[in-house]
Amino acid sequence: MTDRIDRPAAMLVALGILTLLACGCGRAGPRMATVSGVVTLDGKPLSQGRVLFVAERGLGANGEIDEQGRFTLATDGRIGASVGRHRIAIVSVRQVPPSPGERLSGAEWLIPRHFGAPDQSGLEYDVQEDANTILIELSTKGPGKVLKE
Amino acid sequence: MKTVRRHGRAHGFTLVELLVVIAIIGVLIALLLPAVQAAREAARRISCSNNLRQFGIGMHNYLSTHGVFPPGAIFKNESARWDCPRMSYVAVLLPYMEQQQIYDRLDFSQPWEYEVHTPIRRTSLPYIHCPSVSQSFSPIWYDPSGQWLDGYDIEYATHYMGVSGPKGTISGSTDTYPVGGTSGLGGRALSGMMQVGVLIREADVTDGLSNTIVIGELSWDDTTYHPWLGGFSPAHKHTLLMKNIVYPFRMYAFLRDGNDANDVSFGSFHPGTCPFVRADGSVHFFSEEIQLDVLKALASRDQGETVPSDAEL
Repeated sequence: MTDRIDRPAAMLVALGILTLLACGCGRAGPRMATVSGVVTLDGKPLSQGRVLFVAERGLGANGEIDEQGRFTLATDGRIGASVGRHRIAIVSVRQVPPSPGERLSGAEWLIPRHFGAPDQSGLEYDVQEDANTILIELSTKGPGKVLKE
Repeated sequence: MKTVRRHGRAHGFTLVELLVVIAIIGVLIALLLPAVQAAREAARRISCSNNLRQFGIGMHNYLSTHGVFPPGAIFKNESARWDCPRMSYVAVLLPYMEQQQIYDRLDFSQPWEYEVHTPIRRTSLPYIHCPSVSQSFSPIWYDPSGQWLDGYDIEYATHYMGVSGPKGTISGSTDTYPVGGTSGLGGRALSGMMQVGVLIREADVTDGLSNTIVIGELSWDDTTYHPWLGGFSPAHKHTLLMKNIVYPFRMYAFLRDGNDANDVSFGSFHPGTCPFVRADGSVHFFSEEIQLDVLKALASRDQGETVPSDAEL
């Protein structure tokens, strides 16, 4: 009688200890929030490239721009960006044939060149705790804008 | 009935007992395996740190011989663009890191990608690979005419690249860090330790030798790997074994289309950190949570920014 009750009970206790141990695993990183949106150039969606969110501290976030200009940011393989202020750079280039021996010899930029540098783009965004949906408007003539939807 | 059975088989195990034993063994293995993996990674980290330390010692051997820090690449003459050897800092340091026999085989009248250097590009060196990285070859190789072709497993890459310097706005001011040749691929930062055509003496490192990084690990993005002998591409635009610091670790990858390939982020496979050797020859693993402004301050040699002490990094 006692045998039948005690052994499963012992196993339950062991399982409980395991669960407690497992709780200790995993590193607490910075707070993350999802960021997605659309990039446009002179009102038309950009059809290729990458959105880069440069954080003030820690790893930055990256997002591929699809053919409709949409992007979703990911940090180190996980969806989202760290909460806080980010400077933004947009890279959108088309390959040009390199000269002999060169692996690369510059590229044709599909957007004004200054948007490709986080310090010169003039684009910034403060990632909020909740889900962030934004519109990044680039212009061939003037500065760009980041609008929260 | 149950007691009767137990008395009859006093020396047997019941199914439950067996399962409990198996479960306990399973738990022990599950606890031990990550510990073993962590111990192996710790050993690889020490080995990687030793590689960078070798570069630090080689750099100081060069410094005591010549009175200046090693250049980022061998430039004979900036105007003789295609003739100049354009070899990397790894080639510069060969005689100071017990590789004189390889150095003697270099022909400084010809560029590194020419046929005469093919056997050297296919030779590995004992200190150019981080043990945590599985790929030690470059994704491209050079045919006898000096033209690059796709293909792994032919020419050896290195996982350690020089720091050209930071780019962007200087923290706490409106000035920007000096950059040269901005026409394409991101240009080349001018305020770091790995330079060409500038002789850097100890006294020129006004930020302090302990506050300036020289060589670091860039292994997270294997598309940017390059044969270790090459310092500059033929047109001098692509700094093959020197990178600017613009972005945080493991963020900006090399793109075939031709993004700013000189700005590719540093970053390693050592969890949460990236190692660098500083101008004083010491090796430090910097956290990936480091402030970008601090990383840029470390990358410049003479801009006068303040850098927190090791304990705060």
